[in-house]
Amino acid sequence: MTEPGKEPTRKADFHEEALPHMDAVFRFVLRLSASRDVAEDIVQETFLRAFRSWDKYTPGTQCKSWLFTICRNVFLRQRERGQRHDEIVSENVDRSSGPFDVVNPVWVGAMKADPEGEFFDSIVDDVVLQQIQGLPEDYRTAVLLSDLEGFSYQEIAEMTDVPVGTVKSRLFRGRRILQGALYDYAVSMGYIKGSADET
Amino acid sequence: MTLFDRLKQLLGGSQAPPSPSGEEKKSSAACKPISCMEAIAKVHEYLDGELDGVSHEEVAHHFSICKKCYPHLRLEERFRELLQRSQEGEACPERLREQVLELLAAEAGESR
Repeated sequence: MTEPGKEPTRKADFHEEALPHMDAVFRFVLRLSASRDVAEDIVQETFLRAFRSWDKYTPGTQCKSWLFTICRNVFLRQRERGQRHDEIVSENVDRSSGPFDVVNPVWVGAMKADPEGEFFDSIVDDVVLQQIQGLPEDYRTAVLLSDLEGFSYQEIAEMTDVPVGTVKSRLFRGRRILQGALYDYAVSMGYIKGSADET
Repeated sequence: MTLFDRLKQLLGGSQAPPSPSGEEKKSSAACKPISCMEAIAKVHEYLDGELDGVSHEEVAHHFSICKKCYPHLRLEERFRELLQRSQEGEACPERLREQVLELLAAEAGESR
């Protein structure tokens, strides 16, 4: 229990260092859970837990990654309670043939029609977020943490308790699936001409 | 190789050409070009700032001079810009922020 005299300082430190990350935590868990209600519950639980554990946190170190780790754990615990199971990656969804497929087959088509990638400008945010939602959870988490929140491979590895190599693999596959989905969408909407060789 | 060394070679001199100095070796390694396959294989790590085994300058140089590989980089950059843009301005609802503050206040009050 915190000493009475130190309570105002503790509270001020938490407000100054942890609360500014609330927007980022909310965005992250909203993408993870795909439910605004669930996300709001998790945000509340995350900050409450963080506040209770504040004496375990070393001031000035990676507060954002610490909060995200708590958030993700709260999400996983809630999900287990709700007995939801993650989707299995369908072979039809994952176009990447593996780590040896260096050249992105989607880019081969895109480069012919639009090498500067201007078709991306036509894709609205809702579509992007929807496609992110469609990713398998492990890939979605990696993409969210890296591409939207800017965490390093090492930070993501620590937050998700997997080796750095696994983080890289999940990022690679997650990005490839997302790129394929967004490219297909752009072709269907006429933002870019599809390749004749595509199946 | 100096003219003197060339003459020594021609005349069957037993002395080997001088090996490059430490600085010359370092300079030569830094300028070593990378292949297209390697550049494309490293594009994610390059954009993530997490290169391993090859320098940022080497990869950047390749993309700056290779017309074939540059579109791969450009498309990856545009893709990441799109992801970033998709969540711009998305903030925690004010109502939720207030709820969190109330929870924290209650928690702080209880812990006294």
